[in-house]
Order: sequence, then C-alpha cells, then structure tokens
Amino acid sequence: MTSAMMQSQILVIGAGPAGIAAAIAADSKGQSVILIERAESAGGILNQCIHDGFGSIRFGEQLCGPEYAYKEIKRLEGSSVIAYFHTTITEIRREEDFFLIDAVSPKKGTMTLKVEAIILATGCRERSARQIFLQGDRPSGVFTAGLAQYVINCMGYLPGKRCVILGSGDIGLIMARRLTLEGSSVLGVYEIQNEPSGLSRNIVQCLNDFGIPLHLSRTVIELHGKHRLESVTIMDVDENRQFIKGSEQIITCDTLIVSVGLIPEHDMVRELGIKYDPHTSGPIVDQTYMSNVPGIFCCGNALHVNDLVDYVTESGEIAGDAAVDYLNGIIPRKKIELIIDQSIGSIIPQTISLSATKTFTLPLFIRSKRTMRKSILRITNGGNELFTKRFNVVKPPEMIRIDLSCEISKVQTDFPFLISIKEERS
Amino acid sequence: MRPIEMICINCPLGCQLTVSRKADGALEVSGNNCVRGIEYAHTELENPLRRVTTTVNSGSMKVPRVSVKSSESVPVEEIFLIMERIEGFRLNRSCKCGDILIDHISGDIDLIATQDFTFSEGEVKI
Repeated sequence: MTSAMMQSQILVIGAGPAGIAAAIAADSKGQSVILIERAESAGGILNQCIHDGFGSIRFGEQLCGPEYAYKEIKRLEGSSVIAYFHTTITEIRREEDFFLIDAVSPKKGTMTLKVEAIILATGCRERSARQIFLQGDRPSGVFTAGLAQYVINCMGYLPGKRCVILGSGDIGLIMARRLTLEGSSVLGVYEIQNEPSGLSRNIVQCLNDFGIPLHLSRTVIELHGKHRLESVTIMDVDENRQFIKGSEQIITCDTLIVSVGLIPEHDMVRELGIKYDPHTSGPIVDQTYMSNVPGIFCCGNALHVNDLVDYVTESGEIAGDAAVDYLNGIIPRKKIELIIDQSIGSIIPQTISLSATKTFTLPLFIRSKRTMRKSILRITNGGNELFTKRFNVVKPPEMIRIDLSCEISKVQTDFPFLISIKEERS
Repeated sequence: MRPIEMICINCPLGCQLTVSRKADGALEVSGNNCVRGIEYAHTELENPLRRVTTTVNSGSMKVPRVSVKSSESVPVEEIFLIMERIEGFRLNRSCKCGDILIDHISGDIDLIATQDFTFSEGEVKI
C-alpha cells in the first residue's frame, strides 16, 4: 500500500495555543500551512484548564482555559490552514532543502508530507513520580497534577478521597482547590524548596481560601501500599536540601498528586541534530525562534515553559512570521550570543541574529534564579550598557518580559550580550 | 482580634500583609508597599470574592463533563453552595460557549458554559 503524499510550505506540529497562533500567522502571509494534531480537536491543554485567569494581556479579560481555546479555534477556522486531527507523526527526515514527514491517522491511514519548514508547537510534559526518586512501594493512586486535572475535569472521576500534594507548582495548587470543591480532603501541599514555586495568587485562592496547609522545606520520600496507596512518609530538608534525621512522619492518604515541574517536549526531532539549552530544556533559538537546524522553528511550551498563555500565543506568532521570512530567503547574518550569569535561571532567545535592518526590537523572556528584592536587570555588550530596568522584586515563578531595542551601529558585534540581575544595596 | 497574615495579590511583589483590628473597629494594615495593599486587605477581610469554575454532568458518554463558570465573582462562602446546586444537574442538550446553563444559581448569579458541547442521543449515559 502506498501512502498519500502531500505537500505544503510549512508544517506546524501541535494545535494548542502556540501551534494555532503559528499556523494562522504563516497562513495570513499567504503560505500554505498544514497543522497536525494528535488529539481529536484543537486547543491543547487549555481544554482541561477550566479555571480562569487566561488572556488578561491578549484579550484584557480573565477567561477560562476552554474560553481562550474557543476564541483561538474560531480564528483558526476562519483561516485557510489545513488541519489534520487524530494524526500522529512517526518520523521526520531532513533532506537537502526540505523535510519528509511520515504520519498516521485512523481515518486516512499513513501519509507522507513534504514541507520546507517545520514549527514545533508540541508543548511540554509533566515530570513524573518516577523522575524524582520516590522510594517504597509502587501502588496505584499516584497521579501527576495534569493527569488528575484531566481525570476530574474531562472524564468526570475523582482520583481519590484523601490527597497529599507534592510540589507547589501552579497546577498542583489549582488541583488542591479542584479536589476540595469536588469533595476530597486535601491534607497538605509539600514543597522541598524554601519558597513556593507557584504564583502568589494561587497560594491565596487555592490554598488559603480552603485552609489547606503549605509545608515548605518538606517533601515526600516514600510511598506505602500494596495495591492502592495507603500512606506516604514525609521528611524535612535543610537549606542544602539534605534530609533532617528524625523528622520523618507518616501521613495516611489514598492519593498523591505530583506537581514537580514541566519539561519541553521534542522527542520527534531529537535525531535531527538540534542543540538544546540545559536551562530551558528546549532548543537554542535566535529571536526568530529558529533552532540551529535551518527550517526548524519552535514556540510555546516546547521552547520553554511559560506562566502565561498570552506569551505562548505571542511566541507562536513570532515563529509563524519568521518561518515565512525564512522561506522568502530573508536570512539573518551574524549571531550574537546572550550569556546569563548565576542570577538568572533561563533566557529566551539565547542568541540574536543581526539582519540588514538598522535597529531591532525583540521580546526577551527571563526567569530569575532566586527571589531578589530591589534589584536591577542589566544588559551589557563589550562594556557598554544597552539596557537597565529596576524591579521591586523578581521571583523565579514569575517570568520577566522586556522589550529590547538596539541600534545595530551601537552594538559591538564581536562581543556577546551579558545579562545579570543584582540586588541594589540600600 | 488576633492579627491576620495575608499575601497581597495585586502585583508580583506579593507583599506579606499583617492585618489587625483596632479598638474602634478600624483595620490596621502593615507590610504593604502601596495603597492597593490596604484596599486588598479590606476586601479580603470584609467581602472576599471569587469566580467559581467547575464542570457539570453533560449526560453524554463521549464528553462526560462540560466546563462552566459563575457569571460573576461570588463571596467565598457561597462557592460550596453553588457546588451543591450543580451536583444533581444534568445538561442533556447541546450548548454554546457563553450560554446560561442554570439561571439564578445563587441570587443574580447564573452558571455559564465555557465551551461548546454537542449532545447526541446515541451516547446518553445510563
């Protein structure tokens, strides 16, 4: 059996908010775009995020996840993007100046696509209980926060009745509230770090509203239970994250919700020689969000984990526009590296490509490594200060977005940009 | 009244507020860096409001739940009241994002769909 052969200029992988934005951006510039999505409909993870707080930057209102998805899907339906749902990509091959993609779907069988550029909008995956060295038994009743969210909000089942939450990431906090509203008792949230990793808003509205305790510098170390989870052992850690002997305590519970971080997902392009940034776990990109492999772009949570969907949509638009420029032969010339110091956890983009224009303006997304008060963000180049901004406070959970504008004549192109945040001495 | 600790959520600063009531009944707020902290402490103590977001039983097997929200923010103590009223509800019909599914679920507050849903008789839950 021969598989159907299809051709388009741009392939977008993933129809979440990033992929939708990228596909529409490229389509609106007259390129032929195919959008492939594994699930049966568009919207991605927004569909299970029924809480509100989405879209305050983009739409100026606090929408629920499905409402934000709805608005974006309506835009997609109004475009000429060709979308294939329930379709899985099995292989991507790089040829001389194009890519061949094998995909399969229950309705259409196998198909092969020939495209000139690929935009990865595959989102991120949750770090699982297996990835954080939990000891003890392997009973049922251990869920990642996103899985618990899907089970409750989309399937309509309650994961358990007495729940412990490990990790204070936002989804874990939101699930603490969700489980409480649906009648489970949430015994507490345990966080190994000495500060919460979720947003203050979620600490207040998901925990404090319902009297759910948050335990910092305290973590789950062992699971107990033959078939179903019966209890967990928790333990205190010191400032170096070493366990404090004698602090063990056993908590009776039937469910453990794990909310311990998200990791950008790009398994399907791992063989193509893409270079990754250990800080973001996503590809190293320039301001067009193109990776080191010409023609492969990345956006949304596949690039780096965002706190706001508004930024995810923005990154999709940047990648979509840039993919069109790439196909039109607009190739940036010299690359300048952005180097971060110890104060910064991650930065997007990691490089800037200078083009023929005299000035450039681009958004920079920066995550600080720790909480700092009364601090100043500095960008320097060959000893010259290019940018400074003062902050009352910077916190790792709240991403900093700045617009960097430069006149190229003032940039020393042989030197990198150095980025740092320092607390100012008062 | 014992002093109450709270985090102001107006901005990323997240000021740790301490709120106590003086002898004359007025609230005293400390730890705030701006006037919004004082307003926040007053609203949070006197009438904290929250949007309720949850799901209702769709009546269908294929898409068992439909996501909903309260039309306005409600006092925190009314959240569980609304959850109870949703408990026995079954949609059993199609709806559009923005449709009112239960009107006056609490006072002037309606329950509104936050997604499109297509109901098909063939997939009715038993």
